[in-house]
Amino acid sequence: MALKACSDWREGISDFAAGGTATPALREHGAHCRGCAAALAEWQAKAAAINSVVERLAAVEAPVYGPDRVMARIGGRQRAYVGTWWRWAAAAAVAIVTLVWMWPVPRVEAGAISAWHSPTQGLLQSPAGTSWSEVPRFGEGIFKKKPGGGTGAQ
Amino acid sequence: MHEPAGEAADFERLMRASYRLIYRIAYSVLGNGADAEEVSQDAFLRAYEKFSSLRDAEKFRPWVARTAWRLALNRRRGSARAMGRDTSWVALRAPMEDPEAEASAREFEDRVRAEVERLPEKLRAVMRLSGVEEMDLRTIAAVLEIPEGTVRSRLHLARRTLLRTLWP
Repeated sequence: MALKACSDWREGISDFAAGGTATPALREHGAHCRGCAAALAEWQAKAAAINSVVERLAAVEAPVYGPDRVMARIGGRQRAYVGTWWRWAAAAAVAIVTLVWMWPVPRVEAGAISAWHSPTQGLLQSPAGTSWSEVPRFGEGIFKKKPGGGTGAQ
Repeated sequence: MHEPAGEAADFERLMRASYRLIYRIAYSVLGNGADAEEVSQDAFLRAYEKFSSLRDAEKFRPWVARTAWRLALNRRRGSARAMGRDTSWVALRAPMEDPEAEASAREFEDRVRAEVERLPEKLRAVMRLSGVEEMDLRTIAAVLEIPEGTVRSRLHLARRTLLRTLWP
């Protein structure tokens, strides 16, 4: 005849089998009750069966070439990255050279530059400028000459 | 992206040491070898891009595990292919001599799988990760970014739910 767990302890026993903690009262009861001790063993076997199935769900051997494939993908990415970098750099250099080559440079005549005068150039001339630019005749005092051109009263 | 040779060598060493775990984490979510491999590769590529801040092995492994977990979940949500789980894991169980016992064991496994799928997302996550070899409470906590105590209580709740559903 199969032994049965006491109905009061059934829940506590299954809970303990699932990994819970046993209260001192349950421990004491289990030590004396053969039905509950048998039920505990049964629940623990069931819990172990569940665990073994769950373990089997992930118990798979990783492919031995897996790490090599990771390294190969990393190598491929690096090559692609370097390749892309060089391609962009070369394209940018070609574009710059083409722009410089084709850009219309305005031609400026040398004569036009020398003929040009600043609008404020007249302000730079001193009122005494004419006195400095004219060479006095021999015997004529330079400081006796008026800025207007005539000679001072002597 | 242009790494010095020393960094690349460090990365390769850490990657090779944790590849198996990362693959299994992805597989536990996707149940499909090809998808698990792609997700593992993507997770490691992301780790490579951030390797300057992940050189420490203590940081590297949990970071890649977390990334692989998220990528796998995203792929699972987005891909109908992932739903067609391959059954290669069934072959891992030693075949039984008694066909009746074999059928019964398969039926039980299918039921457990179905019940795991029915668990709420939070409980399902800890349950799946707990099945991955090398995944202790601390690692699961790091992957899911929750405290270890929460992992323990969720795992307990998930097991209790499964026990009571399978043997009401």
